[in-house]
Amino acid sequence: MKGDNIRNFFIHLFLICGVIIVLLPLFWMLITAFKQIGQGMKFTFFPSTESYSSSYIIDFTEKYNNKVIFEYINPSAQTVTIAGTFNNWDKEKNQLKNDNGIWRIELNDLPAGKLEYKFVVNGSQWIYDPDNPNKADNSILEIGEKGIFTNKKLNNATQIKENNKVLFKYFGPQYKKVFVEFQGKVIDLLKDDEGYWTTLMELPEGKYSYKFILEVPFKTALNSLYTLDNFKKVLFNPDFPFSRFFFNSLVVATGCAFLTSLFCLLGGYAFAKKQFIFKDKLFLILLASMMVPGMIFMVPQFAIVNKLGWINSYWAMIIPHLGNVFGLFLLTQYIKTIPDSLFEAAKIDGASELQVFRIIVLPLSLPIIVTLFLLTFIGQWSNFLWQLIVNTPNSPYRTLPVGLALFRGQYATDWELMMAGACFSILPIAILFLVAQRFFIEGMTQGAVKE
Amino acid sequence: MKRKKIVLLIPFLLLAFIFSCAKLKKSEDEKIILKVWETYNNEEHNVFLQVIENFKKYYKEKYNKDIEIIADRVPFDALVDNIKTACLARINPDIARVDALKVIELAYHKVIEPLDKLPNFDAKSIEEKRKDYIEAPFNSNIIDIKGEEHLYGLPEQTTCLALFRNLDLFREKSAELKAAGLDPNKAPEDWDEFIKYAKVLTDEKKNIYGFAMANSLWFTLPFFNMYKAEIIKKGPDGKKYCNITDERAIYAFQRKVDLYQKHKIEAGAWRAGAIGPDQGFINKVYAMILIGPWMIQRFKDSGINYAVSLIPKPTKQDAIKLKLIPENATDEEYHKEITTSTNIGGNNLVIFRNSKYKEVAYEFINYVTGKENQIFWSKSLGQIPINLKAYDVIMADTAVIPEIKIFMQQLLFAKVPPLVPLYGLMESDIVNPEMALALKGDKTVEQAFKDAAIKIEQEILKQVNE
Repeated sequence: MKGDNIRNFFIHLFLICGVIIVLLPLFWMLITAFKQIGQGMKFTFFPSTESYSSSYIIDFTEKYNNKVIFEYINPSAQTVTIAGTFNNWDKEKNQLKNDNGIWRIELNDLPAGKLEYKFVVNGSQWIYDPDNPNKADNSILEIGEKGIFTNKKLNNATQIKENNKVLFKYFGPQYKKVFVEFQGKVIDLLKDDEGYWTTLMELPEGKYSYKFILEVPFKTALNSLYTLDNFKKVLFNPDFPFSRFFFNSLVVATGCAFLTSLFCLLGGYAFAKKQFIFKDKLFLILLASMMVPGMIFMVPQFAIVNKLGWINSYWAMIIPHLGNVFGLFLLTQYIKTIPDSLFEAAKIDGASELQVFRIIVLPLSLPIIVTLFLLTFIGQWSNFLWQLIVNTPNSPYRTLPVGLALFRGQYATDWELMMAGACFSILPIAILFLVAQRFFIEGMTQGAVKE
Repeated sequence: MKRKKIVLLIPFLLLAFIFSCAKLKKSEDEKIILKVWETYNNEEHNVFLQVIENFKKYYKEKYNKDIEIIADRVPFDALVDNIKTACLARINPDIARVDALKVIELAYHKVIEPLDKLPNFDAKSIEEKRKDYIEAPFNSNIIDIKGEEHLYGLPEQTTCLALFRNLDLFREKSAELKAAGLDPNKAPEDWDEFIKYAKVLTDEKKNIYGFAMANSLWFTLPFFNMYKAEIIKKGPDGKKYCNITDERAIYAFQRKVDLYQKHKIEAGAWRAGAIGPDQGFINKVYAMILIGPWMIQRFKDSGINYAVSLIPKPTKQDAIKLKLIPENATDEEYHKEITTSTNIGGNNLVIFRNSKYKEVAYEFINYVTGKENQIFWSKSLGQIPINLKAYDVIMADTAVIPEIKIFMQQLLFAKVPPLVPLYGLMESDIVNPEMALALKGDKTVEQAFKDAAIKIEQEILKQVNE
């Protein structure tokens, strides 16, 4: 008994692991569909409430030089430079570095006195320093003989005070907690009324590297990693008519699956229970055609479809797939297993051919018909190449796989949007499986029960 | 009897149904209509529609004629197959934007028009036309078929590889880099220096590697190009032959193999199932990778701190060893002769032979690749211009992000990949598997390239030379 339990446990464990491994791509697809643009390729799956600022250097050895720190906030700018009297108004010489939308530059050894300057945004917009009220033709900053000067009350600048004291300072009213990490230590900062996080420390002279650890509320962290926007972008993008693609796929897959099942059932019945000339030879020829790779037929099929003028129509997308030899074979073999006595009894009772078909063949073959319907539906739902070539790019009949391929570029892929689209595309198949699973079970158990 | 009639009637009805679906051909409109198949993304597509509007105005002013241009987006996957089947059915467009390495395939299939044969070709020679464009992307359109060289398209968008550095990983190892005499704020200049940087940055225990690379011919071309190794060469008889067993080619790839096997600074990112270079770069697993400008926005979106720089160049010793410079060359001569190098990718615009308005189509693609439009395109999308006059304007524009300027610089040292019709097959079925065997250590580089050369001669070049 104990041995059985252990065995069962390991079987279950093995099966669960197997299921997880098989479902990994699906999990990845779902998670990626919800991720913010640019986060899809990251291994981060749980939102982190902690983030880091850039690293800064605090330099006691330079404290008696003149240093001016300029800071300018503009998250949408592509480039920001500074031009002024100190660099002969050369707008390309001093480029500010971007740190989460805060542009910053430190200039050393500037001469004491009046300094005129302007920021140059995106290479062409000359603008006054918005944080410096002292301006005439340009923004003006008065620089003394020694010390550190700034154009504003800095957001995240640590200040060197008298007596080797350092005031670590970071502006962030939105953060839950802010720490400073330096020399392997993490120090808690206190928030003031203006939203600045500060701490004052005394340090020996030297050069130190430090960075701030920023703790955000869980909701903010969650929103920075996950979003529902990808689904909105897929559904409501004017350049990506999702509903049209989806409808076309539905028409083509359903049409193909229904007609294939119907024709295969009719053909299968004839091959299984009827006698006609060259029946076996014809069946063999049909089976032989299964051995030829489908791609070989693509060019002649395309030529025929083109001759018929069916390019950019549902006909080209559905009709060439109706001659499904595999389905015919499947149905033939299945119907062969239905006892002849049933047909004979029906005939004796006076049933017509149509009644025999409707009362005996159709209900008894239902599980296999559903299976064929599903297989064909799945095949056509994901058919890419044929549906691509029989539709010109301006065709209103393009299907979902063709549409989703638009997210895949030559070098890069919009994984987040593509996966959001793929989430919608698995829905019909999932629904069909749920609805049709009863027939599968019936099909599997039918032969096992004796009347 | 009645039943028989019904049985006979069914196939007849089915046939009648099928043929009734056939559409009647519409009579053709007299108005000039150009159809363009393109593979742009949403953002590019919208700018392209603007370009079309601009061209319509330009055309109206110049010729006082109205023109209609229809731009249709096609998925990049299977584009060439789509074009081939469309040509078969004569439903192809007038112009298509195709991968630079696929132009040759269409030229060999004789479905695209040699532009230099058009009456309104606006240069005295291909050579003269070349002066307007960045050389390597332009050269991808010059195709030699049976000894006759023609220009089959114009470059429209180009790309290349450059070196990306993950600055966070560089900063974390800042002290160690300084201790090794390396500047953490600078990029390596030559491959020996690169190895030094990567060794410091590699921390196998933490699964962090200094470098990661893809294993494909296209991604290896910068190595071949920097050592001036030509994989396919044209012989004095005009025939093409495989030159992959040349000393320089072997040395170039041995350098790449050594990064993994000897120096152990490469992560093995080329192996099946390994974390790819770009994904590892985003996740701070790989410190340096070779990748193209298409990843700039994605890296920005993912919030990583990175910098772009030129691909390192060969060392002086390597250059002397491979006779790229004389033994007694000075440092000045070395720096002048030996440069960084890269490959090119991107897209070209081609015109189809059965287009009714080939000359108008040429006017359009000339406009698209012209100075004014390239400046507009580049500024709107932050992409590299392919027109040299536009190149100078964009290079001087401080609004352009510095990363793009690095790529623009890198492109001046680019070379076009080998132009053979079955390039894709050569890469995926012949060279890549042999290179993988060499990287794994299952074959020496010499043996792998010898085997590849035999297959290339038989499966690729035999058809070209016949």
